[in-house]
Amino acid sequence: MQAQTLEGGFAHPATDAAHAFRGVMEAMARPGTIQILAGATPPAPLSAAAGVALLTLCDTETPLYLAGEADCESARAWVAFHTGAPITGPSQCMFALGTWDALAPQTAYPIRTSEYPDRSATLIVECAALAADGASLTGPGIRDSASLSLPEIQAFHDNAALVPLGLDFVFTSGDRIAGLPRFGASVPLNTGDMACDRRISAMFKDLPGGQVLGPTFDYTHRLLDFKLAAEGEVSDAPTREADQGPVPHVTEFLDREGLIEDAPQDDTPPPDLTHEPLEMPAARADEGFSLGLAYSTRRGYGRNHAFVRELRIGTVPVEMDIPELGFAIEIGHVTLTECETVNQFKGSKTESPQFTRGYGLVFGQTERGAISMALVDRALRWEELGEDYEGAPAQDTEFVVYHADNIQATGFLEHIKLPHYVDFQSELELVRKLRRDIEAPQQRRDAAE
Amino acid sequence: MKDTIDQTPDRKAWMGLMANAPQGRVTVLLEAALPQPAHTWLRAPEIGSVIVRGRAGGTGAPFNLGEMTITRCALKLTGGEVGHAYIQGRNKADAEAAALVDALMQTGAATVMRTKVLGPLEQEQVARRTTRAEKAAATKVDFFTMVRGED
Repeated sequence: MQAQTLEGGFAHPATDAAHAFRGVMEAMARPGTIQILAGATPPAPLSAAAGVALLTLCDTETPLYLAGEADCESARAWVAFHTGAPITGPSQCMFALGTWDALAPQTAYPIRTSEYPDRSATLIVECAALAADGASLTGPGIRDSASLSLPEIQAFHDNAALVPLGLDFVFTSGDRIAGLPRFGASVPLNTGDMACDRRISAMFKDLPGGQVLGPTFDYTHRLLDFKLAAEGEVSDAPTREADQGPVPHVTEFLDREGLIEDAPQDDTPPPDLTHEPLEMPAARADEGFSLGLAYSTRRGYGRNHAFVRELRIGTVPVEMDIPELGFAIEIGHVTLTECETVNQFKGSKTESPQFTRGYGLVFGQTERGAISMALVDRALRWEELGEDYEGAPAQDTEFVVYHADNIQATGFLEHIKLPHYVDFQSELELVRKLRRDIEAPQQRRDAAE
Repeated sequence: MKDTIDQTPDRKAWMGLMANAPQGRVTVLLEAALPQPAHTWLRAPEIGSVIVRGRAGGTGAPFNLGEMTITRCALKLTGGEVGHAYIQGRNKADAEAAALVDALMQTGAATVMRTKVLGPLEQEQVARRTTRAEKAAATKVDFFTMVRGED
């Protein structure tokens, strides 16, 4: 890769990006005004302003379509390094860049839907010249009228007729939210590569590789003696020579006979809750909440009798594709707890009787969380497997998913400690009024007696 | 001006090694090995997050498990060699050191880097992994079932 394609980004990313974003916002909020965008030097044929707009508006979550001459090796490499935006075709893109002729036809791009009017494509049109003359513009953000040299007029009339749907053009848009920039997503973890600290199975005692208990209080009663840690008298853990090869999952036993359902590899990208509305099923649950739900399935609410086929704790390397390198590298490692359960399944009209699976995977060393997730995962699959709906909370996807999110639950719950003075005053007034309405006839009766 | 690295597996290995090093370690080793070489930023160190994905059932459809923090940067030495770093956690100095080592590995300083930085890092990593594995191996058990008169 040419070093040149790695240069030409913002020299001072924070301030340059803020100025550029302001410029793009101004251009969008005041149609017809021409803003100066500088600070980036993209490779030809991209203009500096187009480069700045890309740096400001695009990231790994915004598919970009490079039209015509803009779609060249150097432009692709520059975009990949500086924004990470995936290159795509017109029908999939959120942003498109090119000359007016190269971008045509406009019907190729996603316009909005009335449910999500923010999902249309934004077209960055490269023009030979841009001047405040030509077509007359009126509407929101314009005092009286403004003029702009548009490449043609009819297309914009057609687009305006689609309001509130339609495409955004040129000096447009974007909704930038403060927070950590997201660089992308990891390659899905291969938990078969886990360096296990603990790995047990409740189903097979002769597990290939052995039952490795790891740091656990299974089979022991342990009373906390705080002196042990406080006085620094923790003895070193015993060690034994170890074989450090990969530790494959205990799958082959039941798989061989077709007794357990398959989980074939599938590379559909998962939806991202921060960008797309929640669709069932999905979860990022609080551990305590999942524990309660999982316990309810054990007590008979949406019963699924589970065996722990395998429970493992250990570290797994995290790999990520790096666009500027062109290959995946390890970017670190995480500690995970993984639990696979096996459940009886009587079969349905379409499926033979076999064992089905529940799956739990959580960050850190928390087997309670992983087991809970596996049980709830299995309980939620009643519909897919054609089982009966018993009305149990753990079977109700809407109930589970919407109440499992710790962040949302905490926020909504804790806001009640913040000032509600006016709310309370109105309730107080209401209660006083109701009491007056009841007490007044009573007093009249007392007076009459 | 060319970023001419054809030993991709090698580069993968050393970038991964530095990404997994304990905090501060790459910086210390690089400082001990060489005076800091002059460089210009292509991308100043920045902190962000990466979505970590798992697969349903370990092998099935991917799902978003959560996020981890990452620090990354890219720089260019005066000779034109480009170094990249993507490392776990939030340590800009370590990211800078890792990118410098990545760039220096493409220069005459490669041997020094191997002996003074990458070599020690690798030994330490092997030692860490072995200790963990040996502790785990010491907890290995066999379960016996009483004969139940079936045979």
